[in-house]
Amino acid sequence: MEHLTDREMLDLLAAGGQADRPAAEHIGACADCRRRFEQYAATWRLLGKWQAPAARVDMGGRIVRVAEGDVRGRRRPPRLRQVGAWLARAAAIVLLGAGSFLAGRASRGGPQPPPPQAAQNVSDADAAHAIFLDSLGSDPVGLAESMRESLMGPQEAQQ
Amino acid sequence: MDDPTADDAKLMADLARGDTSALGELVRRHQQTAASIARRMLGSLDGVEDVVQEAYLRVFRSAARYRPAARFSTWLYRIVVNLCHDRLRRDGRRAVELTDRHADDSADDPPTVLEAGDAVRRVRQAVDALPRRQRTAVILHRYQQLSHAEIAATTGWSVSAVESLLVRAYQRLRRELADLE
Repeated sequence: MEHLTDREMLDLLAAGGQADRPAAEHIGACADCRRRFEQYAATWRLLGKWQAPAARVDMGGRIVRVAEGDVRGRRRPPRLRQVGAWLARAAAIVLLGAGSFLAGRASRGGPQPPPPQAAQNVSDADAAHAIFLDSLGSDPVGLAESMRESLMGPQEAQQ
Repeated sequence: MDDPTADDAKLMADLARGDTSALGELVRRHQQTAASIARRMLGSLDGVEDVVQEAYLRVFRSAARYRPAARFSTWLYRIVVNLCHDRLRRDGRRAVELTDRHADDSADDPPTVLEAGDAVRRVRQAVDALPRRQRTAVILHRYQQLSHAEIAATTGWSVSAVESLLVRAYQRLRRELADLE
């Protein structure tokens, strides 16, 4: 028998007790193959020191519950799912509006300036005096005379 | 139950008919192996249960389309391996990045007490430092003791590619761990 390849040796290692009999016998008889095989076997044994712990709990119950929830989700009628989606959107809009309103109110919650009150206690005469209307007299520019003439006609005006 | 493979196929048929208790039984049968593959692939316990749960949910959702051409376990391992690769890619991290993370693991990971010791740490580092495909091949070969053909079926790679990956991986591991032998 020819010498074993690296691939055959690795397959032998994984096969363990169920190794290919001719290959195993060859290793027993061939010193060169035995030496090479022993190198692989030493690495194989070293790797075996890493005992990675796996699941810490039985995941069966949890996975079945999730799967059943998956089924229920898929069984909901599409129309009902659509209605649910629209309701969710409407609720989001209402909440957004309410939030904005409350935020607006909260931002106006500071001290308010006092309302203007200066005009309340001023008489008409004082106001006219303030802008010099009283100094103009009753007909300051003679408009009444000229108006009388144009409105009444020249004869009436002379009387 | 003499033939676990046949039983798995029957459980899958039951599951396809909507019997979720069959899913529970499949979980109980294979969860330890699935979790241990994920544990070694991911390099830590972080995310292991998520990967296993997602793998079984995919099994559940695909039950109606399942045809027992291959063993159920091979199919399940393939899903787990792919999910681990996706997760490692998505997280942008390589399981090989063994820094202080592993030391931190031991604080909330009581079973790692079993892994105490410098030799174990060195082995884990050496496996994690392998390129992704070599690491996957070694994990399935050494720890699940799958044949080359089974590894090929699990990963979707050719048998010759698997053998080549394994030879290179073991040679590299032998060099890395030579002082421990």
